[in-house]
Amino acid sequence: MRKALDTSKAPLGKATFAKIPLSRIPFGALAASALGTALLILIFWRYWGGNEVTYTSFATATFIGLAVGSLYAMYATGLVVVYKTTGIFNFAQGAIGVFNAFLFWEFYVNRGWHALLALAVVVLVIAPLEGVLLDIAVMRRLRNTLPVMQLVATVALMVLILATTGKIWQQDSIRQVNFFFGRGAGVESIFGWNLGFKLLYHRLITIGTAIALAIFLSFLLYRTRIGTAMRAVVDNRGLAALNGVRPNVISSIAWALGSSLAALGGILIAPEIQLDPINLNILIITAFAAATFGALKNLPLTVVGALLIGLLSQHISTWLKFGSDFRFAPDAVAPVLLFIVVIALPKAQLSIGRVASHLKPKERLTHPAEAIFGVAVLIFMILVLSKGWLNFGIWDPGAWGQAPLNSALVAMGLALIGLSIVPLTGWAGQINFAPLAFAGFGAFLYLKFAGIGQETTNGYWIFLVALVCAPMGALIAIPASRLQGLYLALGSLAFAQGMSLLFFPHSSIIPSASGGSHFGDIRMFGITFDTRETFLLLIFFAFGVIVVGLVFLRRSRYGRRWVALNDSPAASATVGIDVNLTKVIVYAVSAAIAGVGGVFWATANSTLDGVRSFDVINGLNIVLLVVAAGVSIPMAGIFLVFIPVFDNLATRLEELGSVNWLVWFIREISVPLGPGFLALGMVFNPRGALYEMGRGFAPILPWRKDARKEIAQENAQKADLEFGEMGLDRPFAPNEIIDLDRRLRITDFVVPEGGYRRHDSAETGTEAATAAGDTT
Amino acid sequence: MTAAPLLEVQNVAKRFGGVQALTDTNLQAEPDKITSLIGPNGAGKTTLFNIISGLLPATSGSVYFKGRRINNLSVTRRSRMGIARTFQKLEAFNSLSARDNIKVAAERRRRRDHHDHHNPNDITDELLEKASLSEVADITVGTLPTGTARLVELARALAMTPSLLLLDEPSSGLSEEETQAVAQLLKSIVSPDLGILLVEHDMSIVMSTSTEIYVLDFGLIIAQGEPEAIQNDPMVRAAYLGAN
Repeated sequence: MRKALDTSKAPLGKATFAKIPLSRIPFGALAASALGTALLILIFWRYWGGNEVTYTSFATATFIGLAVGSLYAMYATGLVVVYKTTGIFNFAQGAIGVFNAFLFWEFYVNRGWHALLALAVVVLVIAPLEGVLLDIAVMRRLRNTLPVMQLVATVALMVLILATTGKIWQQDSIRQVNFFFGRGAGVESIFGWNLGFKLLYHRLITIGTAIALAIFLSFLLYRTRIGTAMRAVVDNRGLAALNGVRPNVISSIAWALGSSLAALGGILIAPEIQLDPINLNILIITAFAAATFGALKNLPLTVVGALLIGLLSQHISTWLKFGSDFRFAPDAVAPVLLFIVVIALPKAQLSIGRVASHLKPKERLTHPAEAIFGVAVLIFMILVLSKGWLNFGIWDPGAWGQAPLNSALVAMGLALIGLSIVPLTGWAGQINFAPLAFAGFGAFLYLKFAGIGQETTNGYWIFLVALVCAPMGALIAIPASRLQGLYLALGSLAFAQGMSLLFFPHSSIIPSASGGSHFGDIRMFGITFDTRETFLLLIFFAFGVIVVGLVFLRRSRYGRRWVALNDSPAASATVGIDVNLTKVIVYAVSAAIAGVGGVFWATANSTLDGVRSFDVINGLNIVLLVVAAGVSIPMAGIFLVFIPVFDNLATRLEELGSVNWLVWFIREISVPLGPGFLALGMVFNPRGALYEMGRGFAPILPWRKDARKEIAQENAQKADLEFGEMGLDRPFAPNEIIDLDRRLRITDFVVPEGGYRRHDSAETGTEAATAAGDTT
Repeated sequence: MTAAPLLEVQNVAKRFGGVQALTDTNLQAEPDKITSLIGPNGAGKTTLFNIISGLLPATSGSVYFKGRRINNLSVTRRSRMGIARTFQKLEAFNSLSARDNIKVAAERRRRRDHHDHHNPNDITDELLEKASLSEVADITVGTLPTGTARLVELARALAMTPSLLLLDEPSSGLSEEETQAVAQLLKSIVSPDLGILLVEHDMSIVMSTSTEIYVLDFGLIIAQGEPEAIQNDPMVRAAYLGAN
């Protein structure tokens, strides 16, 4: 009580600047800045390009850096405003900017509209509409999902928007947007003082706009009624609504604002870099880095972070020469900075009272016998198909050629990598957006152990790969184990991006001589797996072993501990579970699986490309598909097979001279956009596709009496339920009643089989109970 | 064996920003006894529990467990030393079954001595029996009613074979009969190896089970004594009834 009174009297505006008193800057932040500075000095010393430092060149680089940094600031402040007001960290923020930049190009360059008209239409009309649409279609539904699902959903959105943008504006031509006022328009002197370089109006306006926006946003959030409402809604939606705020309107305003800011940033940056989705990808993580610099809530610090990144990248690309091995180093400034900032964040307190596990789908543990049976069926099917034993005229290995088998191999490699996500995300509730980085690391190790350019490789090295990958994963987990959900996601994304820019393109990692590194045929158990059919069997065997292993693991004390940790970290600690160690172990297991998967994936590919194979988006797609399949189910990995299966279906249909639109649809829409769409589907059905399939399938199995009973029960309950506001225009659902009972501490009701009824005298009953009683 | 008390809280204070949640708090708990901590809402009871179990750092003061200062030990270390607790707002492992909730703790339990060869499965079964949870053993805790889930949490804490059990309002959300059952259970489990520190609003439990009661109000211990003495204390009456 007293606390509430105190803060309400405090001037609101000061909060932004007074967040972190200087004396209380945590040790981590100091250590990180020292580390960062040392790293920077080392890099400058090592890679100095030898250009003469003159006033003009230095001032020019600084000015451009400030301008670019201001653009990053627009993105990042939009991100922070949305996070502060809706509680959702929008991974798609950068992607929205990219999409709108292309839209602007379409109007301004392609259709010849006036620049200001195009700008106004995109930033003031279309972008806000996109924001509102996103809010209504997706974001509102995220409020009541698990934190992991919130992260995955906006990442899915990001992948989806980027893929759509790439499909609409294909990379067939160079798109360039001119600087506003023209390339040469600018001032060379201010108040008669000669600058020595030309200050472009475009950049001058960019910097001015960014500063004005940051001030405007701070004012909006802390000095206006609507800002107070925005901040209130994120704290307590219900309470804010009771005080006359309309939460849905407020969150739509926030999303509209955020998406306008992203659009403005995207449009203004377009002249600075060539307009293609790959180039603009870099923006995405830059905005995250800047926002994290401001701890996701401090607007002035966010702007400082953005300017810092702009200045650093500009000066690094001006003064340093990295050579071909580190040719992407200038782009790596943001991910490296993000990673350092994430590590430096203060340790998160074990939180109490945030148990969200009632949102989790009810889980039935797979029995090991079932897993073994399933895997055996799978392998038998592959045998039958690949040997052509069963031939319905559809499947003829000869007629199909080897292409389908090839892609099946690659897909199974990905499926193995996907398995690494199951214990980590599905059970322990930790997130890792860098599975492909671990897989690539595994492939790299195998190449080193088994020998480069060999025709056959000794498969037993795979075990060593797993053994080395495990501590590697643990190493990443040590900083990560102090953090929670969102920061872990950001850290792993930065790690993935850093690896794909700095590690894999290096010529001594994945040798690129003669068109990439070659992975020879694996030799194991006295067999050389040199045909595609045998190798496919080997991969399925490995997949089966890991799946069965995971099923055992989930039923072991470790599995229990991981799930317990996910349910309540605080309670885990109070029953003697070492929270950090447990996280480290699950990361190690996950990294080992990913590393092994990487070996098979690389061998299936036979060569890897240090630049393209490890694109961050490819790694995200793996995570998205596994989540779409049902992240707590070991078999979920197999879902990754769907992409090549669809792709082959298209090829086959084409050969058969089949309907063109279908081929087009499969190839152009379902394959590139599928993962994003499927993962977004999780918003509406968090249990995953495999769960639903299993629900349909399980009752058929003779030993699954429980499944048959459950279906019957659910059907009986479902009959009366309609969508609407809980308790107002539809009755409470059983799980909602349990939740309410918990919150209100009501226990006068018992749950008999088949439904709920009142237990004792009527006077303790609530309307909820009455409503529930009526429905069952 | 006598020297140090099981738990000793010495001059513990806690500030949250401008709020003084606890001021100079002193408290002791002994084995074979139920010590109760009562006080109005917001008095600082849960804060003190969080400080003892390590979820919150104290601003000043010391917490001694069996004579050892434990302020700087992690939650995990403290629980391994023998401090177990339950939570006011349920913190059960909702997606695990009742059995697995208890087993997780039994697998990490503190062994009393070298002769302790009890199998976690046996301990789990025994506790399921004791807390009359056998019937719901394989049901996911998230779908159990609050009262049952509280019992699961209590059984989970006991599976640690603790020396000190911190119970934060074990009767909240429980029906009258269930409350009485919990009171009986508490009385039956205290032993020379186990002391209980109880935070509770239900005075029937407090008065019938406790040997020593501390009264906390606005972060200060305002009274301490046996149940009869506390019941007649004018300060306590004032704190609870707001009378002067």
